[in-house]
Amino acid sequence: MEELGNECSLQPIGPYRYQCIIEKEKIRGLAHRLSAMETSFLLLTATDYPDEKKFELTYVFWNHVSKSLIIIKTHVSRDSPQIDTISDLFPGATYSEAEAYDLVGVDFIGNPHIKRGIFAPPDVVEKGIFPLRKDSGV
Amino acid sequence: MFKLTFVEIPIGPQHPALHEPILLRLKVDGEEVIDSEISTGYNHRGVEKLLEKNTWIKSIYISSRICGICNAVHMQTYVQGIERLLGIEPPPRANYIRTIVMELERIHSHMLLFAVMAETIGFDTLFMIVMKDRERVMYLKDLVTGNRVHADIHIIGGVKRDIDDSKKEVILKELAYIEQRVKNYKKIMHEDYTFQKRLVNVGYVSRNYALKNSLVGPPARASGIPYDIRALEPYAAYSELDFRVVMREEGDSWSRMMVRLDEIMESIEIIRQALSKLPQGSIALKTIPRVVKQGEYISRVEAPRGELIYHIVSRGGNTPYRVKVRTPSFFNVLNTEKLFIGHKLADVPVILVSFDPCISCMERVLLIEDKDKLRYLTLKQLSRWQPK
Amino acid sequence: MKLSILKEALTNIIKKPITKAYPITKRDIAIPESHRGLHYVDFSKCTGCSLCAIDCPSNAIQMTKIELKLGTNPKNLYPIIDYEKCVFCYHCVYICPVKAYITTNNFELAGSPEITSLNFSMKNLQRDEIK
Repeated sequence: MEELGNECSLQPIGPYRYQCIIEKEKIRGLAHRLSAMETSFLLLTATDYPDEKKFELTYVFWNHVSKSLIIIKTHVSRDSPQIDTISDLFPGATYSEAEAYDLVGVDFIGNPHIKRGIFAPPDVVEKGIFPLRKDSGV
Repeated sequence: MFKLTFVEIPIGPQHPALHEPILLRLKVDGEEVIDSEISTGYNHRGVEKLLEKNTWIKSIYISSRICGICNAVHMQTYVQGIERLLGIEPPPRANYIRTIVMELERIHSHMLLFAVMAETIGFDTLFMIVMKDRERVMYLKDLVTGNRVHADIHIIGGVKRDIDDSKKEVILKELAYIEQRVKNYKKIMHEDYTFQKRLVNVGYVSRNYALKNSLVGPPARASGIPYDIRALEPYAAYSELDFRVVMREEGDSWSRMMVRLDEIMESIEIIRQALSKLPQGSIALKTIPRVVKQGEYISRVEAPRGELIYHIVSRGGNTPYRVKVRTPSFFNVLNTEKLFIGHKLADVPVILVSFDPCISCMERVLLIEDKDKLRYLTLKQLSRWQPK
Repeated sequence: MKLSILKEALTNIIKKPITKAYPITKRDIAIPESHRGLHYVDFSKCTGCSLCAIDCPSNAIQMTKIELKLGTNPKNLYPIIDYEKCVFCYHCVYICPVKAYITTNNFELAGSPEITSLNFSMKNLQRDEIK
């Protein structure tokens, strides 16, 4: 756990669970370190907070060596929701990022599978709305 | 001179069990697959929006109906997360009853997949025999929870029904029968010529591939990764029960099926232990809480197909703010789209079934030859495909 | 081993089929007593608290005014279950504070003339049915 210390400080939030909050630019550096450490990607959640004008992204990784859960939280602004992809380092994250794009509208730069219509039904795609946003009216 | 044949597998969206409609495009040269691609048109995301619009208590029953086969584990994950956010613990007897119901579900789900695999390779007799035995497990589930498929036994703070002594006796008797039958099936897997030829060395997954692509459940355990949430982050009554994490090193379809059969044996042992150690006491709290404080929690449970994660965000109030559901088939099926390359066309259904997607909706295969002739095939016909 | 599966297949040819021809052989179906079947309210116990209607996940319970004047229910509001919407999760049965729900294991509901629980409840009170 000490290797992640200078990029983000991991706080324990439960037995074998660590969390840290970082800026979105640091995600690739962090992903580089994690991919060298026998870690699997588990989950990516995109949550809409319209009153704070941001989308919060939660990445969850599992480290097989220390058997602990690593939760990384970052946020992108609602007006320009873009962040770098980690799908080249973690191929398991490809479809999770595609889903976050299709349903919330966060753009992952560099992910080749990003397109509308993979998950959302066709009539929603035609109207151009992102269903899981709070103001989508679905 | 090769002939490019496109095989498209359209899957209809109406399916009650957890399944995403997927289109599997295979580019085939003669008999060998040279490229594969999956495109999906998910339809269960409507559930995440639905969970945001309903109260906590109603949303428990909605989460149970995401999947037909693993409905008790979906309820367990969700209710576990809500109980953690509230800071309450269900009584010990409720934990044991929840464990028994989830293990019964694991047994019948694995038996179903074994029957489907037998049918895919052409062993129809074994399919019928396994389904006949599986009916006994469904009867046990009906006895304990009130319904063959949807358990609906969880409530925030406990369970709704109890197990009395007469039910215990029936359960133990049926489990003894099932154990004998599963020992038979394991012998068939070891000795039968058809299983050896069709499953061994087909769909090899290395340990590194499983790590990088986040495979979970029996496919990961069959490649040498000891990834079982029941042992890593024990929930319900698993911290007090003694069981073994089933693991193999070979990484092919045969070992994936053997892992599942061994897990049935382990589940039978777990149920026997839980029944003998069932503590006395109440099965639920007196009043059901309706409002959850602010907070978020990531809840993980071992479903029959792999690891199921729910990410629950609450901002006070009586409805959830955001619930993210990540089912095991999402990674197991989507991330293995390139695994078919290099295999014969008849191996494709075998590999697909060994990853345990919900197979009943993947029945039609559309074969397009020379861009003009169209033919519909079932997966069973595809598994016996021979080029002209 | 291969012989035993052959033997089993051959004996299955001689035995009766496991599958039961359901509508014809009705009596043989093994349904446990505690199967979640048709349920309705005992109006003599209901207090009109409406918890079942509030919590129903499929909104299948309607609280209706029926002038029964039974004393336990001052507002005379009684729950009626619409079986076409009900998913038989039995949350209503569990949450009722006075345990007013009567449960059966009757699962043969398709095509029956009653689609709500109203007349089952009225018959239970030994009153006339309401059309």
